[in-house]
Amino acid sequence: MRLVPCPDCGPREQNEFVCMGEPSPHPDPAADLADALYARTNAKGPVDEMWWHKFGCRRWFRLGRDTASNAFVP
Amino acid sequence: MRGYSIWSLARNALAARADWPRAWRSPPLRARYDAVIVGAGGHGLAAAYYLARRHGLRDVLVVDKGWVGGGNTGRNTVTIRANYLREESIRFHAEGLRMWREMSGELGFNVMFSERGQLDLIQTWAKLRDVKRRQSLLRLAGVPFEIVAPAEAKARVPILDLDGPKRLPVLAATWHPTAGVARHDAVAWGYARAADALGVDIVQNCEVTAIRRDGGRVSGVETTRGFVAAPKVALAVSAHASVLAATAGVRLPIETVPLQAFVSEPLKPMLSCVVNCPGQVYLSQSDKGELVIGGGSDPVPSYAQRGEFATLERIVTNLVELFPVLGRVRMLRQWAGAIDLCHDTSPIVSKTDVEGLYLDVGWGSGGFKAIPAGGAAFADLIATDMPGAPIAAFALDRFARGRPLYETAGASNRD
Repeated sequence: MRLVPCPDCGPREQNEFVCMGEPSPHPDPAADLADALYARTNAKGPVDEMWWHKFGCRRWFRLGRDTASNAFVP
Repeated sequence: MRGYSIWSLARNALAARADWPRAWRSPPLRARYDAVIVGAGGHGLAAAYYLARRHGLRDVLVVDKGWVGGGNTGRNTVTIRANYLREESIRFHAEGLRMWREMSGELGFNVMFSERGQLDLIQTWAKLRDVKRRQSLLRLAGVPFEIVAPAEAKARVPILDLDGPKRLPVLAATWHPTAGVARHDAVAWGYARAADALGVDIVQNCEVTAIRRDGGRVSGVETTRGFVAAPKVALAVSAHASVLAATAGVRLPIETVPLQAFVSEPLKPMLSCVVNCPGQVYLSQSDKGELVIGGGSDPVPSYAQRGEFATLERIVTNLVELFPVLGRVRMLRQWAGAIDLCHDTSPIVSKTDVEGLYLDVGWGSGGFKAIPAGGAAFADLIATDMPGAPIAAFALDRFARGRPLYETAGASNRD
């Protein structure tokens, strides 16, 4: 299984993690709320996303990944 | 267009097959069309066919970066069914089932639609309550769907093992007799040939790189072979809906995730219907004897058309638990398609804020079965600018209006 680099635990099996997707800033209540809640950039290429070590140390961290190849990029 | 028949088969058998014309033309790319449809898969070709047939709009280009039916139309597990949860989805797919039955005759091309029924196994009380609700809604829409005892499930699918050790017992099953399968390539080829005969231009190996807009409206598309002007641009793409729509400044509530499938070596006939099991695995047997097995979507979004091993392992574990007889079967191929999954797992067939830009995207794991009904409704939308009744609930602005259409009947992980 693919290993995910956790900043606390080092490389661990991907089953322990949840990919939480692209980070989004807190929505501005005056702005378009539907866009903030539902729309995604869904970029193809290198992205910087949130991961959660749910079945491990439970830490949230940022991780670079190329969505075109599904490979982690440091 | 020369029709296919027993006579043309016989004539070509005698003439050493020298008399078969090309199924569709390979026209040069022109600089201007009345409408451009991006994506020569089932949806794009069906929309082009119904635009020409029902609305007389024939100056239409269907453009694809690869080849006809080479995307998710050629990567799915060909299940066709209407046992959805929401009234809007049920009505849409019930109309789809009617169109599937008539498709071979209408297109003059055998799409090998086989109405063989679908059996869904139920292993939890929560799921049983869910299908009781679905049964009532399906009955109101006139779709045959019944809850049956495990013994009847075993009678319909003898390779199902009810007695061995299971994490959960099989409590019941549902039987949806009007579900079926069809030959996916034939669907794309049939619509391509019929649309071409009506004057639609199909251009392959030409990638649309951007949508060009002139203020609030669309003016055409940039392609790898130059600019093509058109007052109407329709996206019938999978996996790249977000990327393409972003070039026109439209953001979509879509994530692109891989959906896996695999095919076994050919076996003797052992499975007469489609079977859907809890734990996100479903299977049917093709006419060649191969078992076509599909799984749920991968947990990590990705454009790579490759599935993750963890998902594969889960699918196979659930498969072998219910069908121990398949434990020694060898697999021929394993692959994944990149599906566009909407926030509520319902599709988007809609106008946008950009005038002349239409979307038929976000079909998630259910795009193949929606080809005829989706293509026809999309053609109506492109031609008349008015979303018809079947797709009114699939509008993009449903999120802003607080009317998302949450669906639980897909093969995606958000069930």
